[in-house]
Amino acid sequence: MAATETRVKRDIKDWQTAAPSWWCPGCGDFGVLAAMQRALANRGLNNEEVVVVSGIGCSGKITGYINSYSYHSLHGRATPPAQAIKLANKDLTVIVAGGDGDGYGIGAGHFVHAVRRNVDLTYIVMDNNIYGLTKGQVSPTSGLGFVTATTPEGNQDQPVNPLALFLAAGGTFLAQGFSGDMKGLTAMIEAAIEHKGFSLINVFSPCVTFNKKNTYAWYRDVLVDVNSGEEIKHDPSNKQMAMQRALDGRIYSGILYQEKRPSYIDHTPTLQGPALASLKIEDKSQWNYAAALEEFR
Amino acid sequence: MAIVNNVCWRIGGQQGEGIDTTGDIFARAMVRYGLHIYTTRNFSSRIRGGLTWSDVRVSENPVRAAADSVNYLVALGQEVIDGSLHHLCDGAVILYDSDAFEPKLDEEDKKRFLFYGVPMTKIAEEKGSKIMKNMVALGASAALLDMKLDPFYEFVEEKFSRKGQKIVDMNRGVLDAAYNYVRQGDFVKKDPWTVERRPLNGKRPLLMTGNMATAFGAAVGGCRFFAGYPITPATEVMEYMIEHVEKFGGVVVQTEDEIAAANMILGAGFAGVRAATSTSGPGLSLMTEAIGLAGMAEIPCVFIDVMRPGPSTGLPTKHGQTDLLFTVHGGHDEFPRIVVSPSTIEEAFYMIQKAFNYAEQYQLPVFYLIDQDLGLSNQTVPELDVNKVPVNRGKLLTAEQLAAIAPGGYDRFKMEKDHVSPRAVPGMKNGLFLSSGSEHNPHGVITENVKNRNAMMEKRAGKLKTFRATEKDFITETYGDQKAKIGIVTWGSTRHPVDEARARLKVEEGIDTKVMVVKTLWPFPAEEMKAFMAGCDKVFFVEANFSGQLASITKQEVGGHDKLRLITKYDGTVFKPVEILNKLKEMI
Repeated sequence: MAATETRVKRDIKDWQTAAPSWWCPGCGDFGVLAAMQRALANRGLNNEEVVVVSGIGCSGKITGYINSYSYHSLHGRATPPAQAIKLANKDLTVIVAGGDGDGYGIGAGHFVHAVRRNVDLTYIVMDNNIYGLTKGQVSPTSGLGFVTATTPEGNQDQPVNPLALFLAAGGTFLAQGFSGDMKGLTAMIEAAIEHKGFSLINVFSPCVTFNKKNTYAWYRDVLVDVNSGEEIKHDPSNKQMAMQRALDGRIYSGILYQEKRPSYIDHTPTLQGPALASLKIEDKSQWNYAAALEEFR
Repeated sequence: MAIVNNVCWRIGGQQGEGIDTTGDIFARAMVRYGLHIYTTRNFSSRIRGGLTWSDVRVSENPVRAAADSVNYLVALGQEVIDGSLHHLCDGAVILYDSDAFEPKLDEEDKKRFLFYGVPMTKIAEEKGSKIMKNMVALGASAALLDMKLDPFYEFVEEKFSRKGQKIVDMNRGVLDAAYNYVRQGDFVKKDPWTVERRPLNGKRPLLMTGNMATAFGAAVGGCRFFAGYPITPATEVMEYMIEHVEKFGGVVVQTEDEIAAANMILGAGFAGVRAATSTSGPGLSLMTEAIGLAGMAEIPCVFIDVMRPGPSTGLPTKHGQTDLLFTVHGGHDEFPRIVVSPSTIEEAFYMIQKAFNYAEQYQLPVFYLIDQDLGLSNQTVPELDVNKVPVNRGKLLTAEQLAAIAPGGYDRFKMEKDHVSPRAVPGMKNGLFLSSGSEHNPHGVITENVKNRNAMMEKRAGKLKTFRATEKDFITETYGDQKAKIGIVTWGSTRHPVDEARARLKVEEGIDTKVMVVKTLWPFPAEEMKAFMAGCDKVFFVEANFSGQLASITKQEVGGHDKLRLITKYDGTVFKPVEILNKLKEMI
């Protein structure tokens, strides 16, 4: 959307669908869904100019519940098609939503490179520290010693640190939220949509069925708001400070890092004109193919 | 007796010595001389070192297959002679760098060939620089072949004039010195091969490889998004794509792996942009899951597979027609796909455009298989018409058509008589839908409803029936004596050695044959195949793979097990006409 355009705030109902939910009652993903819908309504976006992309898992179901163009991709493969959708039609707002297993496990390779590429899209990871849809196995963000169906003696693998990974890969917008904090999360998603470049919001989204450790109450207890004022003075333009917080063992919420850097679209010469999807390829006379053919002589 | 304009010339050396470039210059000089050429390259999977050679077959008439044997060999080292020994014909000319080595051969072999030692390094250093050794090879070859240097001068002017007159003069000086060295004193030509100029009728002919024709054809076919990961021998397609797709406003992304490349082209296809990737066997294996998603979610996308022999890493730089069964069957459960394979360079140019049409018309993945011989061979090509294949976007809806549907009433996967549903893309009003690899209803909502599941499987599969009933171009091509009792079936570039072999079979044995070249391999042209096989006693399937993959599909779809005979080759090298000829003689 054009930066100068004035947008009128819309109703959250405009972003809801009639599809019945497959999530368990109390699932953290309901909060993330509602925050996404509210952020889209607040931004005043039109439904047809938004594409939501998801992977596979409980989180992946989210594409069925948002009234937009939606792309339910493969397990771990949400970020590649999302980047391509944005490059194919840069006028769209593209939001990717996935889970911790989807994004930091099977999709970790794509995650790092999507961050590096800095295509303008918003990636929301619903992190519940467990594999839910397959009924309770260890995930890449499960804590050490965490007992699951596949780690009966407790998890021995170091949990992935998505914040540090993101910063190390050169990402430009990093936030961490909590599905129990609707207001804070909505603001974060809005800021991420506004950001020109690849944004990551890691959202703690408790699994009420299979994770009895990382519960709503547990997160409320451990989370430290970077904007809490007196105690913490956070500067989101300071990458070293962001990295320090990513590594200091505490669990923060809020916008941890933001940097203005040309996005993939900004430095791609062929993406400075109209969106690729609007090119009239049907009319061959518009393109000087005959001259290009002569170069083969 | 002189053999005019019918010679196979080879230059060989270590990788990194500019062998490909020299072969290319020789080929271009021949085209400027009004002749037709066909080149083949041999190389290994390393950057520097390792034997490599480039063959240029020169002919008065268009030529599309490798020669039986090599007549002229330019050897930059002993290993080139050793590696070429069984390719050389009796009486072949061996032109070698006498600064580098003196050929070592047993007496028997020595008598078979004519040797010319030229101090290539010294001439290059004296008249230009050391790196111009290849120009010495060209000048000396021209002298021996009894041709003028004009076409080489022409090439040097065109290629180097922007680098300054000095560079042009140096190159010309090297060519002259090499030419004069060979022609000095009482030089008498002892071999029969000569090259004579023929008038160029108007423009110089087009000169391109199958990979170039594919990439350029893709751009002309409206491809504006390409994602790929480097892999031999498909990287070249990606590099040409950068040139051609970007020239026409598109985007090329080098991804982190083939999984990302495949998923990206699905994303672009979903968003309404014609998209492709290019890869080879190992990459295609990684892409398989995404291909299933394209089938299930009915997303247009094109997979260019420059085939190489496997399994696994196999023979990365060699030739094979190895992925037919994989592309026809690859992926879990069943979904429709179209598999096409060009057999000539001009077909490559048109067929890739068709592939993009098919992807959108039938909303499914299209595989475009090209074998390495067709992909890498430089050939003179008949005139191409950029407008011959119109862009057909199938049932892509217009804004007006979508607006005419009741709000929220658009069904992305609507049941239609031809099984193809009208398609909306993001950004269009009143077209919202969910694209999913989970089973879904016509509206796009995920469901496990039994009745819906059956209907959807039938709908997706039904698109291939529509394809068979609709499409007429590039399905099969048959020729030869229709009453012949001997049939030959082939695909891809193998048709060319087949053509030469059957012509010689007629001359040498008086046996009539007919040929079917299969171009659309899936959905399988069963009726055409059945009709072709009907009058035959024996049908030979000639394929560059182990088990005869096209023959396998024929058995499955048509039968005729008693008539089928296999001529297969899976050593990574291209069929030579004589190999097919001998097999035919033996098996008929």
